Amino acid sequence: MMSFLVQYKLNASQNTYSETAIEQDKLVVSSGAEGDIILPNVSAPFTIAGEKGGAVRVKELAKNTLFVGEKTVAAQSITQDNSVSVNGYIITVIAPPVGFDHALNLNVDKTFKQQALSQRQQKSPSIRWFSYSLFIITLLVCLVLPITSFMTQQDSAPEWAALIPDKLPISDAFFSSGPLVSAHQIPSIGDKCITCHQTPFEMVPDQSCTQCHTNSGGHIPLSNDESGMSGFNHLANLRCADCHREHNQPVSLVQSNNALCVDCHQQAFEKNDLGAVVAFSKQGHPNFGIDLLVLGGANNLTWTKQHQTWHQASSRDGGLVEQSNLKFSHEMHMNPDKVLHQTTSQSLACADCHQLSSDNEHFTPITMDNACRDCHALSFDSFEPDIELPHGNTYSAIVAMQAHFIRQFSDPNLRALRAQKKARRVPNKRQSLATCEKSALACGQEESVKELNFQFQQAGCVTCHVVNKTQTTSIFDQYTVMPVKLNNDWYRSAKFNHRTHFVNASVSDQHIAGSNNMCLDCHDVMHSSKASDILMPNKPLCLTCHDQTLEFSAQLQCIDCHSFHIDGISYPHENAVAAKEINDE
Amino acid sequence: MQVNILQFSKRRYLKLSLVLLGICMTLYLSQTGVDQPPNGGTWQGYVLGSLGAFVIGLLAWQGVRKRSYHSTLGTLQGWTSMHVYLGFLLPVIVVLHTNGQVGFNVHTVAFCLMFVVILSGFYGMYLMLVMPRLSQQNLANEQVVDLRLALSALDESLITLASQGQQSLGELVNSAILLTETKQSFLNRLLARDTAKVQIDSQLADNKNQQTMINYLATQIPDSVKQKEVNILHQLLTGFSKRQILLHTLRKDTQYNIIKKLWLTIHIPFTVSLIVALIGHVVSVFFYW
Repeated sequence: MMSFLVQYKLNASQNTYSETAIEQDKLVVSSGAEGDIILPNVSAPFTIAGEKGGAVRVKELAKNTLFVGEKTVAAQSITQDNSVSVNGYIITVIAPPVGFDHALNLNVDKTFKQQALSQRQQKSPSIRWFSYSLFIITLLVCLVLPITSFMTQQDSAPEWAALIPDKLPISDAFFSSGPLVSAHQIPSIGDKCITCHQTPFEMVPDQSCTQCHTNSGGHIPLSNDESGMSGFNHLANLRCADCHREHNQPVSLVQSNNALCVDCHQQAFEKNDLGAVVAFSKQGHPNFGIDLLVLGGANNLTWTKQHQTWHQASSRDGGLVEQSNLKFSHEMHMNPDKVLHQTTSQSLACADCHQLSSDNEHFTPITMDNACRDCHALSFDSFEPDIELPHGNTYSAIVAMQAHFIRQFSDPNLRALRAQKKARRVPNKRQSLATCEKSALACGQEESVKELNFQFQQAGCVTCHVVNKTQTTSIFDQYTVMPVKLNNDWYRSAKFNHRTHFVNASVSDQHIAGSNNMCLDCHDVMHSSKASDILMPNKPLCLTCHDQTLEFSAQLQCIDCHSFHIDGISYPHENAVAAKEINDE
Repeated sequence: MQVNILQFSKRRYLKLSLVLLGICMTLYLSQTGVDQPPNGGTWQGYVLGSLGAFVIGLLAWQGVRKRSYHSTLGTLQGWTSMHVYLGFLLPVIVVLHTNGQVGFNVHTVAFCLMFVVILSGFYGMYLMLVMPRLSQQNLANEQVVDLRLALSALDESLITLASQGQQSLGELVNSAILLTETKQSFLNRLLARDTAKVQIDSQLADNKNQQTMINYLATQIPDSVKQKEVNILHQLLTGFSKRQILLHTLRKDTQYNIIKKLWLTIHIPFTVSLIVALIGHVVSVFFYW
């Protein structure tokens, strides 16, 4: 502890000194209350510490605030009997009186002009340090942390990556330029960029997509020559991501712009029966090509799907017919004077037979059991109307008939019962034999042959089926029922949503109840007398609402009806690469 | 200054900016949305982004050019004029580049930093236009150093004057002078806040704008009996009124200086940050291509 004697005056004109005795190691001189010595004109606080021989050392409290003369210094020693100008005061170290270690005389330095300057140098935020700080923070946030996050996720991550925490405050997702589609916002994709962006500074490869989307079809058939797509080798350079662009706002992964399709399809591909398309309009789109099932093959019993161009009205002109081998008249079934619903006694509704599938495009295939049997029971014995023939197999039906009639005549009780019964007459049903004097086998076989001929020549099987009579004598081979195959997909390369077109009627989930108008608007069944009639709507009908050349129309995009990815065709890039190689050769 | 910079070379850079604006708008509108919606990933978006990055570089180079005293690369006046006009154009280019799409990502960081820099620049330009006049009006052609010396001399004279009166008056004046804080916090300086105090009857009282002291002296005059005391009080009242004006002027000057420096404290560091974020933006685009 040192004892200081400090003589000072508050202003230059004052003649009297104030004297203060302070026992401290170090004195603080300032203009504020924190000082041991308070001087109004001192430009910045500083300290005075004692040294040997009565000398003192003045030292700045804040950087660049101690002015010795005109210069700033960090500290300055003042020996006895010497004076130094410090921050607006002249400090003179005088000989200490008895009992004091140090003695100082402080006088106002009238010539000191640094005061104003020092006032201006009061601490303000440092631009330089602020710049450095922001530089480092931005560098960390925008580059270092995201790239570090990526490197730690690599299979071949460097050893130092093990030292990095799993969860960094900023991950590589910070590089994302926009949200993913909701289907991709799942664990391992949404939170892991490397799943798709496998190599830095390389575009997302198709493998990133195909590792999940294994079943997506391509667009151009594999064989370049067969496809007739020569000249479209630019597909070789197309990646999935060229069309399916992620991270866009608004979020959309499927491109719906017609120009993408028209770019290629504005020219016709005759080899593929594809007309030129520029818009969905009378002139801008070819007529619809309808897909028919056609009997073919060596034995004329197998179906193939054939694509044919169908023109409006050509079906009724006899140009194009369905070959289902069924006999059926929509006109008759929809006529309430001829056919009524068995339980409601109302006229038949379309939905009584045609049930919409869950894809809202196709209908549940019509079968004997789900659409016909209720009215067209296969009973064959007027004495036993509840017994029905098996359906779908001629041999089984004949065997069933034989078995039935032989049993009827071989069992004495049944034979007696049959003789007593009076069979009810049913239209289009043969009156079966009530009694027979021959042997049971002979009676049964005769009756079977009669019923067989009736079923295949007059009414029964032949009512609905095309039946060919052969020249053979065997009962089992005398008639051939031509196989039936109903077309279920008339426009393979098009999509249509029936549900969105159900208008002007009340519609339940799976059952079209009430009016048939909405069906009849498009399908002209009321004038269809043959099963071979094609009742599919055509382009002019669709154009009434969707003609792009009309000002008021429900505009359609190509992909509203067509798909780019076609089942059964491998990926475009593979095809195109193959095509390119062929062309290059 | 206002006329010189904005009208430099017959508004050359205004014309250049308008031409660039037209080009940018055309580019933006040419994005038909066939492949994807308008954004920075279309070829037009890349062009707009490249142009934006170039403009940012050009604007930032102003700081270098300003310090290149021997440079012959255009006049500094021209550079400053270009800085202002391209500064107005840049946000338009960037918004067209991004189509206004934002998110929690490096791209939006750069986007926001750009706006901080541009807005602080606008504010700086406003200060450049109004501050010289305000500062001039405040100082009334005086120098700050002279005002401070005048204050110092005034303080000395007030102490001397007070010492001629009663001891209590001397102590009061001393405390009023001593407790006038010349060193203020950054916030107080920015707001030109006066925290002066005075010790009256052993109690510290607020002496904002020296008003307490002025009021005290004014009330003492009628109560004084001796002419000498009245004279001293009159002189002190006049002195403290001058002191009030001087302190107010100095506080306002300090405030103006801080405000002038403050916009640069935002503008410069955030420009540095923007350049880093811009590099991050470009790297990230090609890193996850």
